[in-house]
Amino acid sequence: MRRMISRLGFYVVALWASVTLNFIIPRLMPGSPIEAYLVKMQGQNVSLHTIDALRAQFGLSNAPIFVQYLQYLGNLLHGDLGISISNYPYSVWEVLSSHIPWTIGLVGISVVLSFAIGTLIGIVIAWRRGGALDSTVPPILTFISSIPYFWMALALLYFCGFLHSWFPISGGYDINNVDPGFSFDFLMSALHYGTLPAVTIILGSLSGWVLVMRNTMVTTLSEDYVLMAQAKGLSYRRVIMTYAARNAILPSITSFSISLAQVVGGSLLTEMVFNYPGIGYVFYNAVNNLDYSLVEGCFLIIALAVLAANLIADVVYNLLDPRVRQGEA
Amino acid sequence: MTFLKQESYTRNHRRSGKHIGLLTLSALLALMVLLSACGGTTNTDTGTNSAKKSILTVNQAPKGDNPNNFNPLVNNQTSAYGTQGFLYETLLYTNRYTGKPQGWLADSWTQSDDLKTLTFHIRPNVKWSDGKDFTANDVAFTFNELKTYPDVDLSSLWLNYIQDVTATNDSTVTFHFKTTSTTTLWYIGSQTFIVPQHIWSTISGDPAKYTNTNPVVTGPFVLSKFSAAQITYDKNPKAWTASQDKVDEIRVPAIADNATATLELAKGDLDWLGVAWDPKFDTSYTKKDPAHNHYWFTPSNTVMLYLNTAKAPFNDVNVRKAISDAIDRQELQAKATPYAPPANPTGLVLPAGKAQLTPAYANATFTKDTATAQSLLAQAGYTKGSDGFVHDKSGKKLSMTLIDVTGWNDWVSDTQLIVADLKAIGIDASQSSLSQTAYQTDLQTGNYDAGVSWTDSGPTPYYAYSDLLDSSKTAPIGKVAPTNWERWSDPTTDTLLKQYNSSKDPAVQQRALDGLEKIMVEQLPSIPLSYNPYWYEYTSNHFTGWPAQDNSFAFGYSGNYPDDEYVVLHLTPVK
Repeated sequence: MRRMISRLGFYVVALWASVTLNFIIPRLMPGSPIEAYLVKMQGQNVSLHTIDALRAQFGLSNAPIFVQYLQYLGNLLHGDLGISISNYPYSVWEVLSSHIPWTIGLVGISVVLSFAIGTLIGIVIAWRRGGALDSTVPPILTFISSIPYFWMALALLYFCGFLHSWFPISGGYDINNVDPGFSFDFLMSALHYGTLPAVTIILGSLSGWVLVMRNTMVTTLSEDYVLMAQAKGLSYRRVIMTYAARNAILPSITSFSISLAQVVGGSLLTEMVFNYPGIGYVFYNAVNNLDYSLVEGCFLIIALAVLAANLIADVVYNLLDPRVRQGEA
Repeated sequence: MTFLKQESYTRNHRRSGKHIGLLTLSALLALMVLLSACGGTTNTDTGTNSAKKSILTVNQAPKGDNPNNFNPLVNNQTSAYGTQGFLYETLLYTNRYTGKPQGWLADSWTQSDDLKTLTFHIRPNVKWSDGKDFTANDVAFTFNELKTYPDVDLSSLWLNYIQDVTATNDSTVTFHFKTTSTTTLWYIGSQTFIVPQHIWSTISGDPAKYTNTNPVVTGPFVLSKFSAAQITYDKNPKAWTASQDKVDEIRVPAIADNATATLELAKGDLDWLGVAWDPKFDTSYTKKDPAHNHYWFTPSNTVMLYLNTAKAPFNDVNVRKAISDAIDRQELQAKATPYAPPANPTGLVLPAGKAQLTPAYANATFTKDTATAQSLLAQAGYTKGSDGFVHDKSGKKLSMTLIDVTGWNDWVSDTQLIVADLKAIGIDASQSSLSQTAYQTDLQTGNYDAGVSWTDSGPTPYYAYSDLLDSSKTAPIGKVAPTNWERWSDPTTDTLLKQYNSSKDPAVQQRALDGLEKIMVEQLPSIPLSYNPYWYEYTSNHFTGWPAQDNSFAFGYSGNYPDDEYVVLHLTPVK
């Protein structure tokens, strides 16, 4: 219990530090949101008063930086993330909440699937190490994942979407025939549109899970307690899953929790290639437009997710590894 | 020992392993089949229930989500595409291609000889989409909103020009001006979009923050459905243009990336697009279906090599001339910007500005001339040193940094080529690629030596010259200059600009332009490189009547407002 409390204290300090960095980093970038807006307005006649008018419209503050920092902290405590300039006059919260579900749906499910499939394959080929699968699957997967992601995604898009029309080439759902909402048609449409991007994400990340799992599994399989379990006459499934895989999976759990946390950062390349309405492109746009509030909002969500994932990994470790529990006692 | 036993154990029970492997594979296969099967049910073509409807699909330029904002008083980068033009309209339409104004919501206008009074006569029988009459009061109300809330007066009309505006009766509205300016007709008549008084007078507070998600309009289209992924506009049967409008529905899908947009265009999912083109797209577009897939790139503004004339050595006209002579503009087009032909030395945009070109410069062109460039540098007092670079009298090397934007590949390549050209005449030139905001800040505050950038455009060459050369649009180094980034400050230039702006007489205006063209050619306040094209790609799969080389009634660029409306009203659906 004391360990958990000290962990929680650590999380609070980490949160404050990340919130403060969120505030500082965007403001260290050269230029201001107005210059970014003027670049988009290129060719239109701009005067000094245009610049003043835009400043007034966006409500940009001229207060000293420290006062702005205190205002920012105060607003955060009230759950107010501010107004997004690049989506003016919408609030950061509205922007985030309309994109995060797409990202969690696509990237989240892909990461979980990739982890599950990769780990299973890893277990299987480690169990049958030296076999035909073991000598073909890892090199093939390594080959696929060493293809640059955007190239693979574009090639699949071109082949499956443009040339053969098996899958739609862009978007998150069929914008002409269904409305977003919890309807069967919409979910099916979202599934159809999400398949190709999901396949590219899974293909790109599968080999990592397979290799890590296979390698730790091979080491674990040579442990005495696995031999002991077999000697006791336990079923193969029980030996593989409860004795070998349960111990071998610990390193994968750590990287899985990190990958899950990264989900909310979005997958920029996937979103750009497939024109998918996720958070990655919003984040990219926010940085390009020096949209301070939106950058801060995105960073905040990522920081919270990383901290939450760490917390979950801590708990899962507790459950999976008795040694951690004993250390606590 | 352990290892060996383990090994034999596995070998003996190979079947079990195979079982798990097969299970995983079949589960994967089942998932794929299920996903594609599910998809099949919703993959209905857009055309099924719309066989009779003519649908135009347009994406102006990929930039992600559609904003849920239909406020025509804020800049068009904030409001949704279509707000200015399809929904809201202006009093006049000035064709940027021909420079000619014509009546729009006002069917005629009169300007006093001293340019201090401007009267619009409102077109009769124009109705708002809710059935109310459009009157001169709506016009006066719109302009008075700009007065009350300066943050929506983006062209600074009240600060610079307007004394007062009154609706003398339901069909006449009169403006009085503080200063004489020919530009008022453009900014007031053709660039301010009129909103309905009976709706907008009821909103509280700053109209800039009003998102107007239920727009009441005069334009040929009304908002039918909004989603961040796609906006749908339906034909407005009450519009005064309804009899001309043959487009039943406009769809504006949100697209994030140029590559996706060009694929959709090639696939026939998009009809109208405005993205920077790359010749390598041709294989899957124009070459795939030359009968339907087209583009037409026309010069929109002159791309300049800006030199910071507020500091040495760029305040020396010989140095500027030497730099200009060193550049091989044919090579820039051949290697970096295939759709941007070399600019005319006057900086006028041709062919649109042909009528205003001084006869003496009708055939003027830039040619690369290294020998002249080197002798100009010698005249400016530079001598070649043993390091291969030229040095001034104090022995200082002539060096300069050219700025551009990371990712703006055409201009990055332009800059690379220019740097090589400058090195060839002994200038120690280098390149620095910045983020777009840093680049914009450096140009504005004068924190640069040289940089490739755009100039502004308008219906006549005056707008580009004024933004480029007017000393009131520059500032000392360190202060923000809105457009005159090269910091040209010259009384003769200012007088000529004023002469143009304060006269109604085309002959007087042309004399002023002649003078400005002469200054551009002889003094090179900034160095014309090439013409930025208006990016315009369209397919004739669903509509014909598009602006084109042989049908050049307007620029086809979808990012000019309200010109997009004018183009749409010329389209005819393919039967």
